[in-house]
Amino acid sequence: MNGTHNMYVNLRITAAAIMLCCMGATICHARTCGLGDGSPVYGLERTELLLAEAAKENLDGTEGKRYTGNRIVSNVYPQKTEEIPLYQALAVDFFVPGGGSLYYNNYYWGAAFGVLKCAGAWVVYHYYRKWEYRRSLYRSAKKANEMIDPYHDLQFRVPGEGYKTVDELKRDYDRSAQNITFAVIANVLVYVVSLYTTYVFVKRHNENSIPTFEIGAWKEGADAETGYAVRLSITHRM
Amino acid sequence: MLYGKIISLLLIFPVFLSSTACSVDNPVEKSYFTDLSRIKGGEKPAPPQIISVDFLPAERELQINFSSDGSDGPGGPDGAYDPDTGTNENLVYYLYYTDGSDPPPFSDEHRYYSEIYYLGYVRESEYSGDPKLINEIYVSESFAGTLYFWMTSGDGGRESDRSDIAEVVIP
Repeated sequence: MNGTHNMYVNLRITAAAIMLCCMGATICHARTCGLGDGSPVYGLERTELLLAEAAKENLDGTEGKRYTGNRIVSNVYPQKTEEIPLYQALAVDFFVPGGGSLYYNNYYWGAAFGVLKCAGAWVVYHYYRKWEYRRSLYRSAKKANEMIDPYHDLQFRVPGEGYKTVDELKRDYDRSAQNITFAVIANVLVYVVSLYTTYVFVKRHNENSIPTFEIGAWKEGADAETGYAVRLSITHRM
Repeated sequence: MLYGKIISLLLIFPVFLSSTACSVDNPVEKSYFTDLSRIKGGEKPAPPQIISVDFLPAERELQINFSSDGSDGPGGPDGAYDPDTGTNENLVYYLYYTDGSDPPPFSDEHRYYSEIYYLGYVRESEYSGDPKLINEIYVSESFAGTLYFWMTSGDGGRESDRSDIAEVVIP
């Protein structure tokens, strides 16, 4: 075994290690993204080319080892779906209740978020009107108590609720303000979850819109001296 | 098609909100409660007047004479009077007291109506004639000093201003 051949062997072993690393990284990435069973292949079409075997030339210009067997290069054409503009989807999801689902085509999620947002908006609006009403009652009662009899706690007739003092009306006013706060917090949570859901679904959808390539090369029928096979599989994502 | 769905959702949303808006109460005017018909008790009654406070040393009993004759009307000298009913028959008389450790006059008029000075009440309907007597108030043998009393009337909703303050010295 001469030095040139040793160099070839070392190069091939190094290349095989790099290839395995690339394959592992690709599979891990695909699994992390939830894009299937870990296969790095996304192509629609595979073209196999049978290449003629060529003699290798050593570094010193002499003819090198001629390998037996076939080399096949697989060319996988990229699969590409229509990309969704992420910010457009998020904007529609924010301004239209359940609108984000129109982009990721999950109408159950869309209906759920639409109902939650409509209900949340109604609750905020309802409590805001209640708060306005309670504030007007409290301010009117406080002013009347100070004007009519500042040394006694008068009892004011609130429609549908009986008589209440200024202190009781103040508590109702504070409670209504608290209700608005809770309603706004709940709405913010719903909107955040909705936006996040749209973001995840659209991002996942757009993963498939990124061109992917696989370049494969392997050698079959290795002779006794080079008794190993090399498989190259690279997925290039841009 | 996508934009058609978006527009449909945008149209449904305000219709939904406006349809529920009618169920919410509208705010009231600032002068809403200045109307006395919206205040429990309506007009404020006039207070009774304490005529005298007597101490009987043998029994260590206090006797309070007061007048609530409403026949004089609200301008009368001793008229406990409810302007809403035109009489004093529905009135309740509240009795307050304090001792020399916290003597009146108070700087804050509000304190005269505080529960910490409240002793009890009698009803106009329990009496016939005038003046009226509150008795069977006993003073502890360990107490010596000055006691101060004042009264108000209530019509079930509003409480009157206080009467003049009467005092008695317990030897």
